[in-house]
Amino acid sequence: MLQLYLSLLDTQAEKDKFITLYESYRDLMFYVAGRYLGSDADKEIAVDGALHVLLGVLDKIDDPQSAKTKNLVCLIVKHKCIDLLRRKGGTVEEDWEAIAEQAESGTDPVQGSMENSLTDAILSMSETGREFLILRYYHGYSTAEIADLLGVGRDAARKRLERAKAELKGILEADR
Amino acid sequence: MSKKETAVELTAAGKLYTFSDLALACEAAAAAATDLPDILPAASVSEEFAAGVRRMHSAYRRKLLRAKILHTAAGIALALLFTFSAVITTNANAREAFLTWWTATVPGSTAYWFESDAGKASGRYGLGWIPEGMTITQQTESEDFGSTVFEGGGHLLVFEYFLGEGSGAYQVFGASQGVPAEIGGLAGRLYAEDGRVNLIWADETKGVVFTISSDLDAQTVLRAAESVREGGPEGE
Repeated sequence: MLQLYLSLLDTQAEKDKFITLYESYRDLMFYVAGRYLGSDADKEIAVDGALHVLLGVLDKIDDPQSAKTKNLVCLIVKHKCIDLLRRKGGTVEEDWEAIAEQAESGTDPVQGSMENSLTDAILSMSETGREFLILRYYHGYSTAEIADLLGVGRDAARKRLERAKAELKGILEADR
Repeated sequence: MSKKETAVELTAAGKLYTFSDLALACEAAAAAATDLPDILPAASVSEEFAAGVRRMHSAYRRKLLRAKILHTAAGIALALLFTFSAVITTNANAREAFLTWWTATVPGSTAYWFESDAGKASGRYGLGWIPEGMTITQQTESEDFGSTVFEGGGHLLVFEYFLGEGSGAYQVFGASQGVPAEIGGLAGRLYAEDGRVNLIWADETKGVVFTISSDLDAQTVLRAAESVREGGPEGE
Protein backbone atom coordinates (compact mmCIF):
# COMPACT_ATOMS: atom_id res chain seq x y z
CA MET A 1 0.00 0.00 0.00
CA LEU A 2 2.80 2.37 0.93
CA GLN A 3 4.55 1.76 -2.36
CA LEU A 4 1.33 2.52 -4.19
CA TYR A 5 1.08 5.94 -2.64
CA LEU A 6 4.77 6.63 -3.04
CA SER A 7 4.51 5.87 -6.72
CA LEU A 8 1.54 8.20 -7.04
CA LEU A 9 3.56 10.99 -5.47
CA ASP A 10 6.39 10.63 -7.97
CA THR A 11 5.35 13.72 -9.89
CA GLN A 12 8.32 14.35 -12.13
CA ALA A 13 8.35 10.96 -13.83
CA GLU A 14 5.21 11.33 -15.94
CA LYS A 15 6.20 14.78 -17.05
CA ASP A 16 9.67 13.57 -18.07
CA LYS A 17 8.19 10.60 -19.87
CA PHE A 18 5.83 12.72 -21.93
CA ILE A 19 8.60 15.14 -22.88
CA THR A 20 10.83 12.22 -23.89
CA LEU A 21 8.04 10.73 -25.99
CA TYR A 22 7.37 14.01 -27.74
CA GLU A 23 11.00 14.79 -28.43
CA SER A 24 11.87 11.23 -29.50
CA TYR A 25 8.94 10.70 -31.83
CA ARG A 26 7.87 14.09 -33.10
CA ASP A 27 9.62 13.61 -36.46
CA LEU A 28 8.46 9.99 -36.67
CA MET A 29 4.86 10.93 -35.95
CA PHE A 30 4.87 13.54 -38.71
CA TYR A 31 6.58 11.11 -41.08
CA VAL A 32 3.95 8.43 -40.48
CA ALA A 33 1.16 11.01 -40.75
CA GLY A 34 2.69 12.15 -44.04
CA ARG A 35 2.15 8.68 -45.51
CA TYR A 36 -1.58 9.07 -45.20
CA LEU A 37 -2.29 12.78 -45.18
CA GLY A 38 -1.43 15.49 -47.62
CA SER A 39 -1.77 18.79 -45.84
CA ASP A 40 0.45 19.95 -42.99
CA ALA A 41 -2.64 21.05 -41.07
CA ASP A 42 -4.10 17.51 -41.26
CA LYS A 43 -0.82 15.99 -40.13
CA GLU A 44 -0.82 18.29 -37.13
CA ILE A 45 -4.38 17.30 -36.26
CA ALA A 46 -3.46 13.59 -36.44
CA VAL A 47 -0.27 14.01 -34.39
CA ASP A 48 -2.10 16.14 -31.85
CA GLY A 49 -4.73 13.39 -31.51
CA ALA A 50 -2.03 10.75 -31.15
CA LEU A 51 -0.32 12.75 -28.39
CA HIS A 52 -3.60 12.90 -26.51
CA VAL A 53 -3.97 9.13 -26.78
CA LEU A 54 -0.39 8.65 -25.58
CA LEU A 55 -1.11 10.80 -22.53
CA GLY A 56 -3.85 8.38 -21.60
CA VAL A 57 -1.54 5.36 -21.70
CA LEU A 58 1.54 7.04 -20.26
CA ASP A 59 1.52 4.82 -17.20
CA LYS A 60 1.67 1.70 -19.38
CA ILE A 61 4.77 2.84 -21.23
CA ASP A 62 7.81 1.46 -19.44
CA ASP A 63 10.55 2.66 -21.73
CA PRO A 64 9.65 5.63 -23.94
CA GLN A 65 12.59 4.94 -26.25
CA SER A 66 12.07 1.22 -26.76
CA ALA A 67 11.17 -0.45 -30.07
CA LYS A 68 7.89 -1.43 -28.46
CA THR A 69 6.96 2.18 -27.72
CA LYS A 70 8.04 3.23 -31.21
CA ASN A 71 5.73 0.59 -32.68
CA LEU A 72 2.87 1.80 -30.48
CA VAL A 73 3.42 5.42 -31.51
CA CYS A 74 3.33 4.45 -35.21
CA LEU A 75 0.12 2.47 -34.75
CA ILE A 76 -1.61 5.26 -32.87
CA VAL A 77 -0.62 7.94 -35.40
CA LYS A 78 -1.72 5.72 -38.27
CA HIS A 79 -5.13 5.18 -36.72
CA LYS A 80 -5.52 8.87 -36.00
CA CYS A 81 -4.86 9.48 -39.70
CA ILE A 82 -7.47 6.88 -40.62
CA ASP A 83 -9.96 8.54 -38.26
CA LEU A 84 -9.32 11.87 -39.88
CA LEU A 85 -9.68 10.48 -43.38
CA ARG A 86 -12.92 8.80 -42.43
CA ARG A 87 -14.27 12.04 -41.00
CA LYS A 88 -13.33 13.83 -44.22
CA GLY A 89 -15.31 11.33 -46.27
CA GLY A 90 -14.73 12.02 -49.94
CA THR A 91 -11.35 13.67 -49.56
CA VAL A 92 -9.45 10.44 -48.92
CA GLU A 93 -5.90 10.63 -50.23
CA GLU A 94 -4.67 8.14 -52.83
CA ASP A 95 -2.24 6.51 -50.40
CA TRP A 96 -5.03 5.68 -48.04
CA GLU A 97 -7.07 4.06 -50.79
CA ALA A 98 -4.16 1.75 -51.52
CA ILE A 99 -3.70 0.95 -47.86
CA ALA A 100 -7.39 0.30 -47.39
CA GLU A 101 -7.42 -2.04 -50.40
CA GLN A 102 -4.34 -3.78 -49.08
CA ALA A 103 -5.97 -4.29 -45.69
CA GLU A 104 -9.13 -5.68 -47.28
CA SER A 105 -7.29 -8.06 -49.58
CA GLY A 106 -5.02 -9.35 -46.85
CA THR A 107 -1.85 -8.69 -48.80
CA ASP A 108 0.97 -6.37 -47.96
CA PRO A 109 4.60 -5.76 -48.93
CA VAL A 110 6.10 -8.02 -46.28
CA GLN A 111 4.33 -11.12 -47.51
CA GLY A 112 7.24 -12.32 -49.64
CA SER A 113 9.18 -14.01 -46.85
CA MET A 114 6.46 -16.53 -46.00
CA GLU A 115 7.70 -19.48 -43.95
CA ASN A 116 5.87 -22.02 -41.92
CA SER A 117 6.10 -20.24 -38.56
CA LEU A 118 3.84 -18.24 -36.32
CA THR A 119 5.73 -15.01 -36.98
CA ASP A 120 5.52 -15.44 -40.73
CA ALA A 121 1.85 -16.31 -40.49
CA ILE A 122 1.28 -13.04 -38.61
CA LEU A 123 3.33 -11.18 -41.20
CA SER A 124 1.15 -12.55 -43.97
CA MET A 125 -2.04 -11.34 -42.34
CA SER A 126 -3.91 -8.23 -43.37
CA GLU A 127 -2.34 -5.11 -41.89
CA THR A 128 -5.42 -4.38 -39.78
CA GLY A 129 -5.57 -7.90 -38.35
CA ARG A 130 -1.87 -7.94 -37.62
CA GLU A 131 -2.08 -4.62 -35.78
CA PHE A 132 -4.86 -5.87 -33.55
CA LEU A 133 -2.82 -8.94 -32.63
CA ILE A 134 0.27 -6.79 -32.00
CA LEU A 135 -1.67 -4.47 -29.70
CA ARG A 136 -3.20 -7.41 -27.86
CA TYR A 137 -0.21 -9.73 -27.52
CA TYR A 138 2.94 -7.63 -27.97
CA HIS A 139 1.71 -4.53 -26.12
CA GLY A 140 -0.56 -6.48 -23.79
CA TYR A 141 -3.60 -4.20 -24.08
CA SER A 142 -7.05 -5.50 -23.23
CA THR A 143 -9.83 -5.27 -25.81
CA ALA A 144 -11.28 -2.25 -23.99
CA GLU A 145 -7.89 -0.52 -23.99
CA ILE A 146 -7.42 -1.23 -27.70
CA ALA A 147 -10.85 0.26 -28.34
CA ASP A 148 -9.84 3.43 -26.48
CA LEU A 149 -6.48 3.61 -28.22
CA LEU A 150 -7.92 3.31 -31.70
CA GLY A 151 -11.08 5.27 -31.05
CA VAL A 152 -13.45 2.42 -31.89
CA GLY A 153 -16.29 0.84 -29.90
CA ARG A 154 -15.50 -2.02 -27.53
CA ASP A 155 -17.73 -4.45 -29.38
CA ALA A 156 -16.09 -3.50 -32.66
CA ALA A 157 -12.63 -4.01 -31.12
CA ARG A 158 -13.63 -7.40 -29.74
CA LYS A 159 -15.02 -8.49 -33.12
CA ARG A 160 -11.93 -7.27 -34.97
CA LEU A 161 -9.69 -9.16 -32.58
CA GLU A 162 -11.76 -12.31 -33.05
CA ARG A 163 -11.56 -11.84 -36.82
CA ALA A 164 -7.79 -11.36 -36.61
CA LYS A 165 -7.41 -14.60 -34.64
CA ALA A 166 -9.64 -16.41 -37.13
CA GLU A 167 -7.54 -15.03 -39.98
CA LEU A 168 -4.34 -16.21 -38.31
CA LYS A 169 -5.85 -19.63 -37.65
CA GLY A 170 -6.85 -19.88 -41.32
CA ILE A 171 -3.31 -19.05 -42.49
CA LEU A 172 -1.72 -21.53 -40.08
CA GLU A 173 -4.09 -24.30 -41.16
CA ALA A 174 -3.66 -23.56 -44.86
CA ASP A 175 0.12 -23.86 -44.44
CA ARG A 176 -0.13 -27.18 -42.67
CA MET B 1 5.44 -17.74 -16.11
CA SER B 2 2.12 -16.21 -15.18
CA LYS B 3 -1.26 -17.81 -15.76
CA LYS B 4 -1.96 -15.22 -18.46
CA GLU B 5 1.26 -16.03 -20.33
CA THR B 6 0.56 -19.75 -20.39
CA ALA B 7 -3.12 -19.45 -21.29
CA VAL B 8 -3.95 -21.01 -24.64
CA GLU B 9 -5.15 -18.27 -26.96
CA LEU B 10 -5.31 -20.07 -30.27
CA THR B 11 -5.59 -23.62 -31.56
CA ALA B 12 -4.63 -24.15 -35.18
CA ALA B 13 -3.34 -27.02 -37.28
CA GLY B 14 -3.25 -29.28 -34.25
CA LYS B 15 -1.04 -26.91 -32.25
CA LEU B 16 -1.78 -24.87 -29.15
CA TYR B 17 -0.49 -21.28 -29.06
CA THR B 18 -0.23 -19.56 -25.69
CA PHE B 19 -0.39 -15.83 -24.97
CA SER B 20 3.38 -15.91 -24.60
CA ASP B 21 3.85 -17.64 -28.00
CA LEU B 22 1.73 -14.98 -29.66
CA ALA B 23 3.49 -12.17 -27.77
CA LEU B 24 6.91 -13.32 -29.03
CA ALA B 25 5.68 -13.82 -32.58
CA CYS B 26 3.92 -10.45 -32.59
CA GLU B 27 7.07 -8.74 -31.32
CA ALA B 28 9.07 -10.28 -34.18
CA ALA B 29 6.32 -9.44 -36.66
CA ALA B 30 6.17 -5.83 -35.46
CA ALA B 31 9.92 -5.48 -35.98
CA ALA B 32 9.85 -7.17 -39.38
CA ALA B 33 6.90 -5.17 -40.65
CA THR B 34 8.54 -1.85 -39.82
CA ASP B 35 9.75 -0.13 -42.94
CA LEU B 36 10.76 3.23 -41.55
CA PRO B 37 13.86 4.97 -42.88
CA ASP B 38 16.82 5.30 -40.51
CA ILE B 39 16.88 9.04 -40.96
CA LEU B 40 13.59 10.89 -40.77
CA PRO B 41 12.99 14.34 -42.18
CA ALA B 42 12.73 16.96 -39.45
CA ALA B 43 9.12 17.89 -38.84
CA SER B 44 8.31 21.56 -39.16
CA VAL B 45 5.37 22.45 -37.01
CA SER B 46 3.27 25.56 -36.99
CA GLU B 47 3.25 27.91 -34.03
CA GLU B 48 -0.38 26.95 -33.41
CA PHE B 49 0.58 23.29 -33.08
CA ALA B 50 3.51 24.05 -30.78
CA ALA B 51 1.22 26.22 -28.65
CA GLY B 52 -1.36 23.44 -28.62
CA VAL B 53 1.17 20.92 -27.35
CA ARG B 54 2.27 23.32 -24.65
CA ARG B 55 -1.36 23.83 -23.59
CA MET B 56 -1.95 20.09 -23.54
CA HIS B 57 1.15 19.53 -21.46
CA SER B 58 0.05 22.23 -19.06
CA ALA B 59 -3.48 20.78 -18.85
CA TYR B 60 -2.05 17.32 -18.25
CA ARG B 61 0.11 18.63 -15.42
CA ARG B 62 -2.97 20.16 -13.80
CA LYS B 63 -4.88 16.91 -14.24
CA LEU B 64 -1.99 14.95 -12.75
CA LEU B 65 -1.71 17.33 -9.83
CA ARG B 66 -5.43 17.05 -9.16
CA ALA B 67 -5.21 13.26 -9.15
CA LYS B 68 -2.26 13.34 -6.79
CA ILE B 69 -3.94 15.71 -4.37
CA LEU B 70 -7.01 13.51 -4.27
CA HIS B 71 -4.87 10.41 -3.83
CA THR B 72 -2.92 12.08 -1.02
CA ALA B 73 -6.15 12.89 0.73
CA ALA B 74 -7.36 9.34 0.18
CA GLY B 75 -4.04 8.05 1.49
CA ILE B 76 -4.41 10.03 4.67
CA ALA B 77 -7.91 8.70 5.16
CA LEU B 78 -6.84 5.11 4.62
CA ALA B 79 -3.89 5.50 6.93
CA LEU B 80 -6.20 6.90 9.56
CA LEU B 81 -8.50 3.95 9.26
CA PHE B 82 -5.92 1.19 9.06
CA THR B 83 -2.57 2.31 10.41
CA PHE B 84 -3.63 3.30 13.86
CA SER B 85 -5.10 0.02 14.92
CA ALA B 86 -2.21 -1.95 13.45
CA VAL B 87 0.52 0.15 15.00
CA ILE B 88 -1.01 0.87 18.38
CA THR B 89 -1.62 -2.78 19.12
CA THR B 90 1.80 -4.01 18.08
CA ASN B 91 4.10 -1.20 19.14
CA ALA B 92 4.85 -0.91 22.86
CA ASN B 93 6.23 2.60 22.51
CA ALA B 94 3.04 3.67 20.82
CA ARG B 95 0.92 2.31 23.64
CA GLU B 96 3.06 4.21 26.14
CA ALA B 97 2.59 7.42 24.21
CA PHE B 98 -0.89 8.03 25.56
CA LEU B 99 -1.81 11.69 25.72
CA THR B 100 1.10 12.65 23.50
CA TRP B 101 1.79 12.67 19.83
CA TRP B 102 3.87 9.83 18.57
CA THR B 103 5.82 10.05 15.36
CA ALA B 104 7.54 7.42 13.28
CA THR B 105 9.45 8.12 10.11
CA VAL B 106 10.12 5.45 7.55
CA PRO B 107 11.58 6.04 4.10
CA GLY B 108 9.05 8.02 2.15
CA SER B 109 6.48 8.55 4.85
CA THR B 110 5.82 9.79 8.35
CA ALA B 111 3.12 8.40 10.60
CA TYR B 112 1.56 10.32 13.48
CA TRP B 113 -0.87 9.20 16.06
CA PHE B 114 -2.15 10.24 19.45
CA GLU B 115 -4.29 9.04 22.30
CA SER B 116 -6.32 11.38 24.42
CA ASP B 117 -8.91 11.06 27.10
CA ALA B 118 -11.56 12.53 24.86
CA GLY B 119 -14.60 10.38 24.27
CA LYS B 120 -16.10 9.59 20.91
CA ALA B 121 -15.80 12.68 18.77
CA SER B 122 -18.86 13.97 17.00
CA GLY B 123 -20.06 16.87 14.89
CA ARG B 124 -19.59 18.13 11.38
CA TYR B 125 -16.93 20.55 10.28
CA GLY B 126 -16.50 22.88 7.36
CA LEU B 127 -14.46 25.80 6.12
CA GLY B 128 -15.77 29.27 6.98
CA TRP B 129 -13.62 30.82 4.27
CA ILE B 130 -12.53 29.54 0.88
CA PRO B 131 -10.58 31.36 -1.83
CA GLU B 132 -12.68 33.51 -4.14
CA GLY B 133 -14.04 31.68 -7.16
CA MET B 134 -13.94 28.24 -5.58
CA THR B 135 -17.05 26.15 -5.19
CA ILE B 136 -17.86 22.73 -3.76
CA THR B 137 -17.61 20.05 -6.44
CA GLN B 138 -17.69 16.92 -4.31
CA GLN B 139 -18.76 16.15 -0.76
CA THR B 140 -18.80 13.01 1.36
CA GLU B 141 -20.03 12.66 4.93
CA SER B 142 -20.13 9.60 7.13
CA GLU B 143 -20.33 8.90 10.84
CA ASP B 144 -16.65 9.54 11.46
CA PHE B 145 -15.36 11.17 8.29
CA GLY B 146 -16.08 14.20 6.16
CA SER B 147 -14.53 15.26 2.87
CA THR B 148 -15.21 18.34 0.76
CA VAL B 149 -13.54 19.10 -2.57
CA PHE B 150 -13.44 22.74 -3.70
CA GLU B 151 -12.46 23.73 -7.22
CA GLY B 152 -12.13 26.99 -9.09
CA GLY B 153 -9.68 29.14 -11.01
CA GLY B 154 -7.76 26.04 -12.08
CA HIS B 155 -7.05 25.10 -8.46
CA LEU B 156 -8.17 22.38 -6.12
CA LEU B 157 -8.56 22.25 -2.36
CA VAL B 158 -9.61 19.17 -0.38
CA PHE B 159 -10.71 19.57 3.23
CA GLU B 160 -11.18 16.45 5.33
CA TYR B 161 -11.80 15.65 8.97
CA PHE B 162 -11.73 12.42 10.91
CA LEU B 163 -13.63 11.84 14.13
CA GLY B 164 -11.76 9.50 16.46
CA GLU B 165 -12.68 7.82 19.68
CA GLY B 166 -10.08 9.23 22.04
CA SER B 167 -7.44 8.72 19.41
CA GLY B 168 -6.29 9.81 16.02
CA ALA B 169 -3.66 8.86 13.51
CA TYR B 170 -2.49 9.81 10.09
CA GLN B 171 0.33 9.02 7.72
CA VAL B 172 1.96 11.45 5.33
CA PHE B 173 3.59 10.04 2.22
CA GLY B 174 6.34 11.99 0.58
CA ALA B 175 9.95 12.99 1.01
CA SER B 176 9.25 16.24 2.85
CA GLN B 177 9.34 16.10 6.64
CA GLY B 178 7.20 19.22 6.85
CA VAL B 179 7.36 22.18 9.20
CA PRO B 180 5.41 22.85 12.39
CA ALA B 181 2.29 24.97 11.97
CA GLU B 182 -0.24 26.43 14.38
CA ILE B 183 -3.88 26.59 13.39
CA GLY B 184 -6.21 28.36 15.82
CA GLY B 185 -3.93 27.45 18.74
CA LEU B 186 -3.74 23.80 17.66
CA ALA B 187 -0.49 22.13 16.65
CA GLY B 188 -0.14 20.83 13.13
CA ARG B 189 2.34 20.21 10.38
CA LEU B 190 2.64 21.72 6.93
CA TYR B 191 4.10 19.81 3.99
CA ALA B 192 4.94 21.66 0.79
CA GLU B 193 6.22 19.46 -1.98
CA ASP B 194 6.06 19.44 -5.78
CA GLY B 195 3.53 22.25 -6.01
CA ARG B 196 1.22 20.69 -3.44
CA VAL B 197 0.55 21.70 0.12
CA ASN B 198 -0.68 19.28 2.75
CA LEU B 199 -1.67 20.67 6.12
CA ILE B 200 -2.55 18.36 8.98
CA TRP B 201 -3.60 19.30 12.46
CA ALA B 202 -5.64 17.87 15.28
CA ASP B 203 -7.87 18.95 18.11
CA GLU B 204 -6.80 16.40 20.70
CA THR B 205 -9.38 17.53 23.21
CA LYS B 206 -12.12 16.55 20.77
CA GLY B 207 -10.29 13.71 19.06
CA VAL B 208 -10.59 15.23 15.59
CA VAL B 209 -7.90 15.25 12.89
CA PHE B 210 -8.17 17.81 10.08
CA THR B 211 -6.37 17.85 6.76
CA ILE B 212 -6.24 20.21 3.81
CA SER B 213 -4.54 19.23 0.55
CA SER B 214 -4.24 21.76 -2.24
CA ASP B 215 -2.19 23.17 -5.09
CA LEU B 216 -2.73 26.66 -3.67
CA ASP B 217 0.05 28.41 -1.74
CA ALA B 218 0.69 27.69 1.92
CA GLN B 219 -0.62 31.05 3.15
CA THR B 220 -3.97 30.51 1.45
CA VAL B 221 -4.22 26.98 2.84
CA LEU B 222 -3.42 28.23 6.34
CA ARG B 223 -6.07 30.93 6.05
CA ALA B 224 -8.65 28.35 5.01
CA ALA B 225 -7.56 26.13 7.91
CA GLU B 226 -7.99 28.98 10.40
CA SER B 227 -11.61 29.28 9.27
CA VAL B 228 -12.61 25.72 10.19
CA ARG B 229 -15.87 25.77 12.09
CA GLU B 230 -18.26 23.25 13.46
CA GLY B 231 -21.50 22.98 11.54
CA GLY B 232 -20.71 22.22 7.93
CA PRO B 233 -18.90 23.50 4.89
CA GLU B 234 -18.85 26.94 3.35
CA GLY B 235 -21.97 27.64 1.39
CA GLU B 236 -24.33 25.68 3.60
